[in-house]
Amino acid sequence: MATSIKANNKKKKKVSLNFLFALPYAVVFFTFVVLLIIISIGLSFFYYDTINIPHFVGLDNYVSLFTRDSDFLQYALPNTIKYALIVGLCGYLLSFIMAWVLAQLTHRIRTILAVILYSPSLTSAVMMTVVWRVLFSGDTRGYLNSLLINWGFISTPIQFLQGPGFIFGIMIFVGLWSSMSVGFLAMLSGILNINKELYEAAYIEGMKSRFQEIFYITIPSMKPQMLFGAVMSIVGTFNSAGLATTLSGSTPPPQYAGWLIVDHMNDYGFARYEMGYASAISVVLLLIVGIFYLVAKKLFTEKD
Amino acid sequence: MKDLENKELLNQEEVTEVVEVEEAKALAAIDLNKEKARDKRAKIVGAILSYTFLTICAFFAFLPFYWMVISSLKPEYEYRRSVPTFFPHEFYFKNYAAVLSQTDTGSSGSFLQIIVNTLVVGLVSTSIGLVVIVITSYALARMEFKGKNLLFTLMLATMMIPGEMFTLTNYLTVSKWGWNDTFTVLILPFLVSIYYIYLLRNNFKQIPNSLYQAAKVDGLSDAGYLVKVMVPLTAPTLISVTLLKFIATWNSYIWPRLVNTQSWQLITNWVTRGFPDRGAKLYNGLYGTTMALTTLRMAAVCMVSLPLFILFIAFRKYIMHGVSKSGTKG
Repeated sequence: MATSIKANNKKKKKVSLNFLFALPYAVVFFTFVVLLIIISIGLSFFYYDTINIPHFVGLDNYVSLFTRDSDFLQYALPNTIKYALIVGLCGYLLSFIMAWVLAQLTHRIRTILAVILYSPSLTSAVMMTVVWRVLFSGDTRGYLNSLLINWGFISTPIQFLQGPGFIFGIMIFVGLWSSMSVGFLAMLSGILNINKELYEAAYIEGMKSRFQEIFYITIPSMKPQMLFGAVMSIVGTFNSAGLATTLSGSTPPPQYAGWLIVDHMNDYGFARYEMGYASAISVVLLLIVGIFYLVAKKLFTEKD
Repeated sequence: MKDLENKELLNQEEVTEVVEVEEAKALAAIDLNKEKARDKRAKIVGAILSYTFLTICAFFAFLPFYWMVISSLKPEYEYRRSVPTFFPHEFYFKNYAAVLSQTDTGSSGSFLQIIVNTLVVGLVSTSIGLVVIVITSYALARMEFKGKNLLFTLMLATMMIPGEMFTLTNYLTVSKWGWNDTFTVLILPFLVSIYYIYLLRNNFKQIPNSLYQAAKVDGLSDAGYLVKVMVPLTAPTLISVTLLKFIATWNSYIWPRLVNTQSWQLITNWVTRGFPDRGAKLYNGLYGTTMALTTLRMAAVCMVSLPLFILFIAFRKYIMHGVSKSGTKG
């Protein structure tokens, strides 16, 4: 009896100590993550201008978002999905292809090339827009315009940063340029860590080409890294904001070119102070990201 | 065959050679020479293709940085020529000196002040964050307590949530608490990322249980075991977490701009500002004292990006090692 109480006491002490270990994080996590999400979802049912007390409006925010907000329906939503599909998907495929090709090279060359390819995502997108603006500048001083004029393709400079079509194109180019991020590094080390004997065994079993090798050995052996890369590119692309405005230098950019959901949310949140409406936008974004995540998870989860 | 284990050092060609030989033996190929010649040709074509592909990609990846550097080295009048030069006629290092000496102590903050801000925020948030990350990962990897699974599931679920969703409500919270223009507002809300905890927890889980039992026999407490055994064993991951966290502070832009006034912002905010020729030091008043000079801004961007490259190149092994563990199942 006595021993069992003692053991029980000891266990209790242990449990509280263990809980203490997780406590600091749990506190930060609940204040700055869980609580905020709950507040966001809750706030999306209210009208709140940051000064007056919020009042309940039910689903009004969502209804006007999907029926009356033409900037959202015409620009923000389609632009975001287009941007995420093009940059996310192409960037992801590109990361995999590059990682695979790099893995075939010798150690030294591989390291040098991997560092060069990764370097665009080291610097932040905002910092680089300073450089992009010079490259695509609309006068003859812009490097691209100057080259095109020199080579005789055009006679007058193109307004790259003011034309809606060009802005979106440049955004995609910039997005792809910086898409070799941690997902790419994870995939590269995933490929390098595959046991070489697997390939040998498969060739003995009758595998013929490098393509079969990729689909039957490489991808199945690195599913976790593939999923990680997919998650990173989904979150990365849907989270993008501010590219079009910093490129064109005006908010909103000409004809809302490259206007993304997060831009729309920031516009309502921090320019118009309609926090409830902005929260509703963020909840919609969350749902869209969730759907894409489920698709990626279904593709790359190990069945065991 | 034991060479195969040393895969990093082994030439790819030799690997394929070994594979080829084995394959040939196993299949008992009739015309070994012919097949080998064909394979060799395919290999050469493949090598040419992959090198071309990678060279083109690396060229495009590198090009903007080249433009950035050469623009930062030109004098402003050369930059403003209607036909741009693709290599500076004249190296003008005064751009860098001019950027560093922007010492107006008014509302916008001098370079020194901003770099101090960034270092304080970076170092404090990295070190506190690291401690929190280590003990939380340890709790999640090794310990049993009520609500552990719930906490972990919630964490994984929130990994997917766009960070932008938090800026809105975070902004409301910190403004209400009057945290604007402090370091706290830059440090606390983004102190720990779920991603790093997930990474480290998986790393901790890979350490065999027998080590823990042995440590217990030797009389080590949980905390002692964590500090003396687990931390040294996962040093590469910890180094990469430290670096990634510091780089994130260095690159943060939207949040500092939202909550703090200029002299309380960080380095990336600083480079996006205009850099005029203050006090007509460079061009004797050729360009007005309020006109932003692109060459100066380019010099600022160069200086701010350089530490990132140095850190990444110096510690690339750890970062690669760190992220490779990230995907492994939890």
